[in-house]
Amino acid sequence: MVSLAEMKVNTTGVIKQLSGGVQFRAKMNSLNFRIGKKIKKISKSILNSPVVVEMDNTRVAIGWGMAKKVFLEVLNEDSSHGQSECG
Amino acid sequence: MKILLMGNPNVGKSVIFSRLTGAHVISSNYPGTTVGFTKGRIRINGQEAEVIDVPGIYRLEPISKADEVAIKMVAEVTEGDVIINVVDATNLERSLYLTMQLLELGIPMILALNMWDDVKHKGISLDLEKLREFLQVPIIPTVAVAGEGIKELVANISQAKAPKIHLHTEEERWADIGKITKEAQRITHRHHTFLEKLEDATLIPHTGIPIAILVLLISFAFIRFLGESLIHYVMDPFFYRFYGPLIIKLVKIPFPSGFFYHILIGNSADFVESLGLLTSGLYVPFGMVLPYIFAFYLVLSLLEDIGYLPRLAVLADTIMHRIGLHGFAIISIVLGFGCNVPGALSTRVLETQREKFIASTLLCTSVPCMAQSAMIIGLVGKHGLAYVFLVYGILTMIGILIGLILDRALQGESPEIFMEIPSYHIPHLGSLLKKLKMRIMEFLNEAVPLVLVGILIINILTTVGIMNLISSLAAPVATRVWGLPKEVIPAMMIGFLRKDVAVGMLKPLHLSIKQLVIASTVLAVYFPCVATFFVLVKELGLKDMAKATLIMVTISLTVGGAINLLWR
Repeated sequence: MVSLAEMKVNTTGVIKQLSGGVQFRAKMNSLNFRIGKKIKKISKSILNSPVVVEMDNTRVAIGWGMAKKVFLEVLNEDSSHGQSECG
Repeated sequence: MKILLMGNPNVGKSVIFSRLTGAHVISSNYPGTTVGFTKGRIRINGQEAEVIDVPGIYRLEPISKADEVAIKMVAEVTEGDVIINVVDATNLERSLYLTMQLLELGIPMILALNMWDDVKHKGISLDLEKLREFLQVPIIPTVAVAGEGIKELVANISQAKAPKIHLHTEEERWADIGKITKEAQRITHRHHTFLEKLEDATLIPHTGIPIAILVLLISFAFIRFLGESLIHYVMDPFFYRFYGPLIIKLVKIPFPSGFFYHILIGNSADFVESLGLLTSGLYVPFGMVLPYIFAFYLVLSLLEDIGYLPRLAVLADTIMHRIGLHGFAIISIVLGFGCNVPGALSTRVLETQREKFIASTLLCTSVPCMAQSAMIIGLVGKHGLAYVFLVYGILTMIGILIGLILDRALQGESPEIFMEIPSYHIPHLGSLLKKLKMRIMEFLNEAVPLVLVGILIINILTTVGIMNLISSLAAPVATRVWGLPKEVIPAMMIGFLRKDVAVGMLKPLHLSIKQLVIASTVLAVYFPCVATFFVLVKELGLKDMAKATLIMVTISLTVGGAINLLWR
């Protein structure tokens, strides 16, 4: 497992753990960040800037501190081609 | 009967609201445009119903103040009320969580599947029949910006259903949603379009930051170019060649001279200096400020509707964190450059009182509204644009300094940014123009009466000698601290009412450029205008607003004094 903060750009991972309190999880859940969801990292953080990810065809920006609390299992190094997903 | 428009943020509730009621509300392409609720009316089958545009919410548990407003509205639902649940068709899974929660409450619902036109080119296919089967409520596909599907929506409101569903646990809800999306939705991968590549390029720091700087520079240059052109080629010729001579002639018929002539026309051929109700009173808001308001809101509305602002929020996040805020506060600041009132209202989406306090204080001290800016550009700009930048540079430095200090002085941390970044949309011209018109009308309705009242007050106070008395009393501050003549005091007083008139009142004083820079800066910082003040008292509470005001007064004294000392 690797945190979203550390995960490489252009990789896709499955959320395995949200290491935060009830508030944190509620906040994550509101934008559909749940255990088992697939997300792709779009941009990395520069000077603790937010991490941008893609999930279900939408882009979401996550603060650096929050990104450190999201743990994923990496699926593949580059999923930008040829992958088709079913909702 | 009440009809509640509910759904996630940025799914187009406000656009549907405008379409349903014909009422005008501001809608933009970013989450959190609607922070209060707006009511309108609609007739269905001869019966009048109230339509409420509820702020967007992801779930029925509150995270911000705007969420609380929405949840309160749901709690107040009574027998016979209906929810129009607006759902982003391109983001079904996430949207359905709120849908499920609302259904569990047993309120009759009709579902508007909005942004239906985007579904296809996002590679999504939806089986509407299956969806209807699962949810058991009427589902109407809509493209609200183009007005498609609105008729069907209205026709089906009376068909709203409340299927019997027991209260689910969170897991159960997601399990149900999983089942629905699996059967009713197919997502296929397709190649990224140019627009999508641009979406990412403007969001990722190493390309996004240079683009952001470029966007802001172009915006500023365009606003100034358009504003100045309108003033030079349209407003000035109209006022000085046509309106001015005419109105002077007309007033001279009943009042060839004396008190009334003085109040109506004033005593200078310059329409800023004359301080007459029919000259300055109209020339300042229409001739000098309106062109800039028009140019500013044209650019802002365009950036809003395209969906650029949330990207700016992400890019600014790192810097904003240093001053105790997070990126979204940049949207309040951008709105504040138009008018501080909507800027202050938009701080409602910020999660903590601490953030709201910092953002509001910054807004009041460092973000002059467009009305004020237009006058600063007009007056200070005559000595060179560099001095305009100097004023803005000083204000920016004040903002950063206050932010740094407050971030350290106030307990607590700023929550982090966590927001959906909407796709770019090609703006819909009709909606854009409507929004522009609405904002301009808002400015005129708000500004013109206050400008006239302000000018009337100056005239009366000057005539009875009170102005002179106050000026003498406050003279030591003006002269010793700021190095300004005591004649600036009346401008300071009017600044409580309208900052644009206040800056305009500096013109007849023929100040040196140093004095002009100090006076403009102090006027921007020392106190918010009355409209902003009352909004902030309501938003922050009296106590925090008193603290913020204390900061403003302190800053205006010290910074004004410092420039006076340092500038030789």
